[in-house]
Amino acid sequence: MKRKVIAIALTLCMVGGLMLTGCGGSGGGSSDGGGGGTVKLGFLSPITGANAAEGAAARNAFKLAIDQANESGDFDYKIEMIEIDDKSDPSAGVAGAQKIVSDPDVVAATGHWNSGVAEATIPVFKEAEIPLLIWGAIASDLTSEENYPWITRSAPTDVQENIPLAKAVLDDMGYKKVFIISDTTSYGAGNTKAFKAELKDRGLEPVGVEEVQEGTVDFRAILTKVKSSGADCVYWGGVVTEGSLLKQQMFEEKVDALFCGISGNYSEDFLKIPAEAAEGALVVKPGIVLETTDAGKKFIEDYEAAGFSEPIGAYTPYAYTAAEILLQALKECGDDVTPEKMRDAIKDGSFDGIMGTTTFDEIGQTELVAAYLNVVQDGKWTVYDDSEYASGKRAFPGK
Amino acid sequence: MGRFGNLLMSAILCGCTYTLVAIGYCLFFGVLDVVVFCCGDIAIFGAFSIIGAYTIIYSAGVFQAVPTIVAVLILLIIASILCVALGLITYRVSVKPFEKSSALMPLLSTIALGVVIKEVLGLIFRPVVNSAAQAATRVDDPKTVVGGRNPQSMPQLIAANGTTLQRNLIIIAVVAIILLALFFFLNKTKMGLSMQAISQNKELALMTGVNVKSTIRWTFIIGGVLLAIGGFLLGNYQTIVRFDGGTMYGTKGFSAAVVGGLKSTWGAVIGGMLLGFVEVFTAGLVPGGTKFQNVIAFLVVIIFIVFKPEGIIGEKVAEKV
Amino acid sequence: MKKNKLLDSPFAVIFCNLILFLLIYFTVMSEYMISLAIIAAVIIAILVVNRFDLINKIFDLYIRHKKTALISALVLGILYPFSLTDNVYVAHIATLAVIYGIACLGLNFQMGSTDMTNFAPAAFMGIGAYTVGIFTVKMGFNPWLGMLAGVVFSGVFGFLIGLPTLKTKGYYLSLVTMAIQLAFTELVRVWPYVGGDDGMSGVQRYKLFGFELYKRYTIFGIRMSPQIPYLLLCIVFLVICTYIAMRVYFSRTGIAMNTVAQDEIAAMCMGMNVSRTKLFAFVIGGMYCGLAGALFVGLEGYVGPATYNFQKSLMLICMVILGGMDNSIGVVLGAFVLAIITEKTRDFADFQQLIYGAVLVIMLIVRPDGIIPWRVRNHDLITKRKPKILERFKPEEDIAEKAQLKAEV
Repeated sequence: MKRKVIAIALTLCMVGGLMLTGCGGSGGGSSDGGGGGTVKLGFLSPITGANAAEGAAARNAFKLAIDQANESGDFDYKIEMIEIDDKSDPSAGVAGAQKIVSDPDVVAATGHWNSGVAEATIPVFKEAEIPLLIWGAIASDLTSEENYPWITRSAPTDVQENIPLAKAVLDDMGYKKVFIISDTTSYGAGNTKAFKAELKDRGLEPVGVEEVQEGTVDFRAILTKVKSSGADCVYWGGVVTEGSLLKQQMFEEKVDALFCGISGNYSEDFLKIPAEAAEGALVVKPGIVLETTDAGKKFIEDYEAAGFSEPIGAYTPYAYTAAEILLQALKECGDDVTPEKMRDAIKDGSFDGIMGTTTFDEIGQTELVAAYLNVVQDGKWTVYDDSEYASGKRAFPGK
Repeated sequence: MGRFGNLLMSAILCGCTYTLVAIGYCLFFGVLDVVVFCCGDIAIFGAFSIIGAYTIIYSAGVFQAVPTIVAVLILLIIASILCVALGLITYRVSVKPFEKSSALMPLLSTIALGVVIKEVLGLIFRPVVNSAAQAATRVDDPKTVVGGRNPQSMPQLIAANGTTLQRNLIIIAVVAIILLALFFFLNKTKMGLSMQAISQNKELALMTGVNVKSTIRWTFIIGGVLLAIGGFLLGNYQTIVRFDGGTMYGTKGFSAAVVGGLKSTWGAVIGGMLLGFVEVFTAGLVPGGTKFQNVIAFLVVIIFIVFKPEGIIGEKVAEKV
Repeated sequence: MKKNKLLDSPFAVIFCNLILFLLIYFTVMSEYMISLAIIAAVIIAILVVNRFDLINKIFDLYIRHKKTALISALVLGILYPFSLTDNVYVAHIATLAVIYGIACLGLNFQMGSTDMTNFAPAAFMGIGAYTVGIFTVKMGFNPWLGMLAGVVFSGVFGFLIGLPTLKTKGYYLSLVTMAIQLAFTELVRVWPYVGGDDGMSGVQRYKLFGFELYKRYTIFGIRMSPQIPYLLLCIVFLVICTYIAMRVYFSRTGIAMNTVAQDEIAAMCMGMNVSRTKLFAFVIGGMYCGLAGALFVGLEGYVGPATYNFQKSLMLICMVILGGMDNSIGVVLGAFVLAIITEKTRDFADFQQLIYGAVLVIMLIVRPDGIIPWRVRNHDLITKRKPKILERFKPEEDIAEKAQLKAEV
């Protein structure tokens, strides 16, 4: 009898917990008829798991664009979005991709923050002949001749992102002894490879290379290695979660070296560590400074007005751009939209968006590559060119 | 401090964090003869409850008026109460129903309970803490809670204005004091001796008039307090806490307990330190060894289980029929 | 025992199969609310029906009319994939469920029959999957060869894991398998040869005599999902695996495994080869999981570390406990139910892990035996036609009886 009481109590607790978090609101899975009046676009991103913050923000941006398009009245049909949580897990991604392609109203999909997940779902989309536009995964081999024209990408690859950073750090600032730390995910491995290649082009060798597991919180053992190697620059090839900890521990252990990394570190989360610890972190961010253009400003205003709980991340504008590309392609297709028409519209088109004009090259990679440097100054992300570091008031460590 | 000194400090600190959770395993295993696998998750729960309580109470403007040490004590008491409650729930839900069934049942059910704890933590932490902090009059926002599933930054309360070295030394000192207190408790008080008696022979202990029920309750109280302090120290050392950090932390703690000998508290200390040293020195001395630090730690565990299953400190017990 | 005539006819068997088929079909095809409702109703119905011992009677019935049951199940099993037509997503889920069923059967040898909790079934699956991946992508061999090698390798791996378990037991064994599972994921993640965290994509799909098993076919003017032929293959494998598992269960080895689970020392005293029995459970379980992994690769065409991690292991364990330990049919049912729930509740992805945990906790408290619990072997029925076996059982009879008695207690 007691067991039953416990079981009932547990079940009640569970139900109560679910209600408390308001899961009822996310009804989801609505399938009201479909047919003539709707066109569906798939969107895949990690909404749970380690990369949830970035994935959810991108989902919000995509949703924002779709809602705006529906309200504008430019389309005769209703555009619906099928949002899929790939959980950063390839299997979940494949199952989600199957769900998207099995819907007859779907004409295009965009997805993926994780390159490993993209790797797994690309065959699904190719088989089902649905065009996939990648908004966030950056492993360079995702767009290729075999995958063209079904697979295109509006985000820069890891190689494209590392070029401006290497130019700034190695050529302009003159750092020579670089210690590379990355995580073991495909993101980290890709960055390590790309940055090593940059070093090699300049006849340099990294003074050390270390890989850590995702979710590592203790970098102190590695930092003793960094110190004894005499490095003057630490290149972090991972994302913000571990990156901010690494920077903080570098500060605590008094490692006299520059901290630099790529866009995965550009996030408000980086500023959660104390301002003096975050000071001087140098991060390259793809795209343009949104605040400088009207379209960019409008995007930021709209995003904030929509009241999403996740702040804008480094790739959120790219998800928005992906939505803009798909919407403009839809317009070009006219009233009778098919996946084939969408494919051709995407690969041949040129699209105006908040980041500039996007066109695709012969393997479906975007030709719009812009990037700028950011630095943490007094606990805030500051564009490098406007910062006191560029004007010489402050100096980076390790010089 | 040279490079070796730095490594030594890291290793001891890493070992300290493992030790505390390993002692939790030992206490529960000794008295109940089952492995309560969600110890790591309880410790993480403790750390989260400290973050939550800090956010709420700071918003209400209480901590600005009192010295840090008082604040720490208040937070620790809150976390301890919550952890003890969670420990007792664990006992009620996942240990007691399986007293008469196979020993693996409680292991499985505590693993499952651990999953429930961490998922509930990830889901409800943000709504609960945010709304409560908003309800309190906000003085200023100490640490924003963005989402329960994101890594949470721990308020730095140990040597807040001091150096890292000071903080590390305080952590080590606190662990040492806890160990001494535990040693005193286990060997000098009646309750501690009862625990040892049950651990050695439950039936005989019953016959000699040891109150098993209240001893079990006390074990969970002591264990809960230990894990709450463990979570607090872990959070301060790592500066952030992840809601799903308990699984790896718990597995490492369990490994440490097994390496040391499941029934021996001192074994847990030695096991925890051994694991900490193996991990840190693999990462710090072997070039490119960081990616293998967990694998090597587990390899050590497997070698120990195969060749010395009774642990470093622990007697070989012939199985009773 | 008084026999109910209607309950004893071969038609009853066909009827039962038909009902099962329709239930599976509707659960897979319908919207998530309806399918969850069906699953809940089925579980409650089973629990109620079990009060009247009907499940056991149905089992007896199946064994008595073995041929009718097998043939009708096979016919329905072959029809089933075609009924899914061109719904790619549903076909994908159905195939996944069948593959998990095979893996769970393997895990059941260790967890259910021998009471050794193995926390590394996903690692075994991973070995099968990675072998196929390496054989086709890196070496250019035929995927069938890869599957064979995968099954052999995971069997060998099972043997190697099994070796230390001869000395250890209980918690220590659990910890060893946990450590192996965690180490496996981390090792393949940092091994550049197999693609590291990216994994390997473009794994060659299986072909049968030039007939591609993963391709869209049009039958009678209906366009089929590409997974349909593959689903057929998996169902055939599942049927074979279930058959073997049942044979093992009713054999001397099966009884020996149960005896080891009940009391290892008693088993030793009776002169049983405990080490051999345990190793057998690990090797055959490993091979089943390896096969499941090899089939998994054929479905996704991709192999990567995140697919074979600790969470997947927990999910498989959850399936076995939900279905019913040491009951092959129950285990497969558990795999189906949980696989379908997982996919159908995709819209509440935030709660999935929580649901696993809560299902496990509640199941363990309320009904640790699972939906379809362990069944007392009915040797009357099996040995009716083969008296030879009965004689062979004689010296072990008291062991079997003991196992039965203990289970009843």
